[in-house]
Amino acid sequence: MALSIVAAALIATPVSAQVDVQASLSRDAVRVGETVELTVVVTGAMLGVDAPRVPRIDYLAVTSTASSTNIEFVDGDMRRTTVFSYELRASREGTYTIPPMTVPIGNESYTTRALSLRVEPPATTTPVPPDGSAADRDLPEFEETDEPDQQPDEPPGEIDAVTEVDNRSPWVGEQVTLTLKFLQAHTLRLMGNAEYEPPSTEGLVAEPLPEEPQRSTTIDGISYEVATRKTSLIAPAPGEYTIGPATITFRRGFTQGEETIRTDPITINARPLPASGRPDDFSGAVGSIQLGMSLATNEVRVGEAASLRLEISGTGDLRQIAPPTVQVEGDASVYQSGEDRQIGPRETADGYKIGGRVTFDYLIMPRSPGQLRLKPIVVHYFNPKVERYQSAQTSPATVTVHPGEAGATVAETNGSELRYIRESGLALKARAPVTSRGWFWLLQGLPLVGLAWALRERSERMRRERDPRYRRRVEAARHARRALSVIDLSVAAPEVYHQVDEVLAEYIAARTGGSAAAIAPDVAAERLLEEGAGEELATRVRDLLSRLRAGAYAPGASGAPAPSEALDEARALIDAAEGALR
Amino acid sequence: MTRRAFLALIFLTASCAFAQQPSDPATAPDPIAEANALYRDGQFAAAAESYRDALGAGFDGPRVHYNLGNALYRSEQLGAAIAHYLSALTMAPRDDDIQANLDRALTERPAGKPAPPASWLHATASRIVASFTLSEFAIAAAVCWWSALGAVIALLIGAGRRRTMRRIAIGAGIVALSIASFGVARWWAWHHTDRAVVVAESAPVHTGPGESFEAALSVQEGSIVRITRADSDWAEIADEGGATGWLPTSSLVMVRPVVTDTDWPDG
Repeated sequence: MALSIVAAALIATPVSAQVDVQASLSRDAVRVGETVELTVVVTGAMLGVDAPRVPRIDYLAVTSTASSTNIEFVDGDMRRTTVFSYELRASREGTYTIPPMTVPIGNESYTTRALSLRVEPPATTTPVPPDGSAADRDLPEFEETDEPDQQPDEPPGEIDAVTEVDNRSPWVGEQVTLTLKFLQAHTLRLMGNAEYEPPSTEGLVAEPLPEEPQRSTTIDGISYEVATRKTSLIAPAPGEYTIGPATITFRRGFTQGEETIRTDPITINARPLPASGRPDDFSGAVGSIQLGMSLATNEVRVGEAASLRLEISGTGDLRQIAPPTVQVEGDASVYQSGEDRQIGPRETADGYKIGGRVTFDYLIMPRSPGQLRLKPIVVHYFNPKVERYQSAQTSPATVTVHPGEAGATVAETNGSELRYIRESGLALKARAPVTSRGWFWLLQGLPLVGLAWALRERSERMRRERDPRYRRRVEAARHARRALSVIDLSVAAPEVYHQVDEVLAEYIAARTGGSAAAIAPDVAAERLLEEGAGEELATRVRDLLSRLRAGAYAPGASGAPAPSEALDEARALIDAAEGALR
Repeated sequence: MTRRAFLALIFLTASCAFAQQPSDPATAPDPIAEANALYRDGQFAAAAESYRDALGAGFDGPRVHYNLGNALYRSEQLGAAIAHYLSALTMAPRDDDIQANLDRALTERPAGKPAPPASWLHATASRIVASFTLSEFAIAAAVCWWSALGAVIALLIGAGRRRTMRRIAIGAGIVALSIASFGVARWWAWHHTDRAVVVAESAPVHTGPGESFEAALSVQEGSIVRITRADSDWAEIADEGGATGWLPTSSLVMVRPVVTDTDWPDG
């Protein structure tokens, strides 16, 4: 059932549901040198979302980035949330506006709102040289040291800038570190701040590395203050890239004009990754990575899920790495349920390198009991240090699947969310609805017949209650028959004649009105004639009554019937009268 | 005695009416076994043909429509697959597999899955109407109808427990009316109205029954349309948004049960 829900949710979720993109800052105000987190949350996008680019803002550097994806099922619907986090460090006070950022998703673009950040002066004061000019510099901190620095080829002037890269022919995807050094002689006094414009890095993926402490150095006997800024550059495709000049503009005094210093542009040539030795399932990662796997449980039931987490860590641009394929031997489906990428500069023996940790979460949904064997998961990457492809892989694992409730299995074809064909359980032939059958509607009419009968019964009952004479008349035959049936023939014959006479007289009185005491044989015949009974019936009644009375009151008189015959004759007369009288 | 006989008659007729018809004998050979085997072998187009043969032979139950829908889906005939899933769902409305595969197919059509009704009342009513067959509605309404009238009859003939009988009569009457209303809605939407699914990738909808008429709009594969008029070549349709026009019948596959005289071959 659980698999059904998951599968239904997966197949029912549209590629792009209602997408919402929101940007926010962890704080509205920071001090110079402090960091603030900029978060962009994309909710509802089912496609992969590219990380939005933070617009370049002077004195507000992006020092690290991270992203995470979470997929959850709510009421059977799949909802995917991707969070991009950027750590920003301010190097100068002021109020900054972070312009709206555009997030392309599928064929549409979504835009965040503009954000405002106030940067206040640092809490600690910067050491001020005797002439007080340091407070005007845009270089935030100052640290005295006698350590000699790498000398530029030509002796610098009082103020100078140098750019250099650590590798001019990197592989595609390999990190190149761009270093910018600003040198300012301690003897130099500037009017106001020196304006710095960073070099253009068009076509390259640039990411600032943490700032190194500012320090002093002496070149040709001149003491300089040196600030160093490093940027990670990654070429996404083979070819030549030009890193433009960095520019510093400054003024020595009120009366002196504006001066500009430009660094030399640098060209780097990105080499394509070697074709020889490239695995078919190369992940796209360039760097050095490790792979770890954790399985939440080794025993599950059918319908339950086993959670699997893959963790890829190391140096290199891990944003490019695709989710590895998890292959299971056995009757189960595998779904990717989550993704989290924490990418940023990491301190290594070779300085700061872009790297981090990427985790992929999977759900393994078994469909039938048995053993599931997880094949080793292999991630191939290109290691630029050794200039060849390498691979990291996990160990194989086994999951035991126990029967689910009632030993149920999940009917689903291998490797697909489409429910499998049915070989039982559903009818082969269509059955016409019962509403198309005549007998169904006839049956529905039957209660109406019953209702009519009940109405008539009720009406009759009420009439009998209202009209005693009517009730006496309509119930006369029933009472008479019942009275005849209880006459005991074992008593003396005159007694039988008497009882039969009484019953017959009462019946005729009830049917014709009046008292039974007034029913003499002739009277009975007359009344029957008046009520529409025929002459013959009237005569038979008169005759029977006469003979019964003769037998009852003049024992031994001739003509009296036998008692049993009297009973039968009385019954026959009552039946005949019921037929004749209305 | 008369009353007892009447009640016995009611019981007897009700028992006969609601008795289940005998099911298919388990030992009978499966008429779609060959089609299922083709499907298992991955020969989806051949399996679809075999399922269609079974339909033509009178095996037009939900199992055949569902399996045919799967074979058509695997053959990338999304519109026809939707039509057969809908046909299966008409006969087996609460089957999870049919509903899941229909949802999947609807999600993959260009228009996507139809939006649910805006109001919860409409959504709930639609869900109830879609969850039961017409026979189930009819039998449930009949049971309530019989119960309500039985209680009324008991009241009229003066049987005991008048208060209980009155409650049964009112309650069962209201329930019978409600179920009957849903049944009528089911009949109207699923049986009285002819529905079809567009199987052409994108079909121009003309203002009249012929290519010479202007094509005012187009419908895409998988769109479910209502047939308002039809002959052998052209059908007047109303699409899911209510727009009307004419489409060649070759662009459509009917959803069972078909009400009109025109019964086009399955796509």
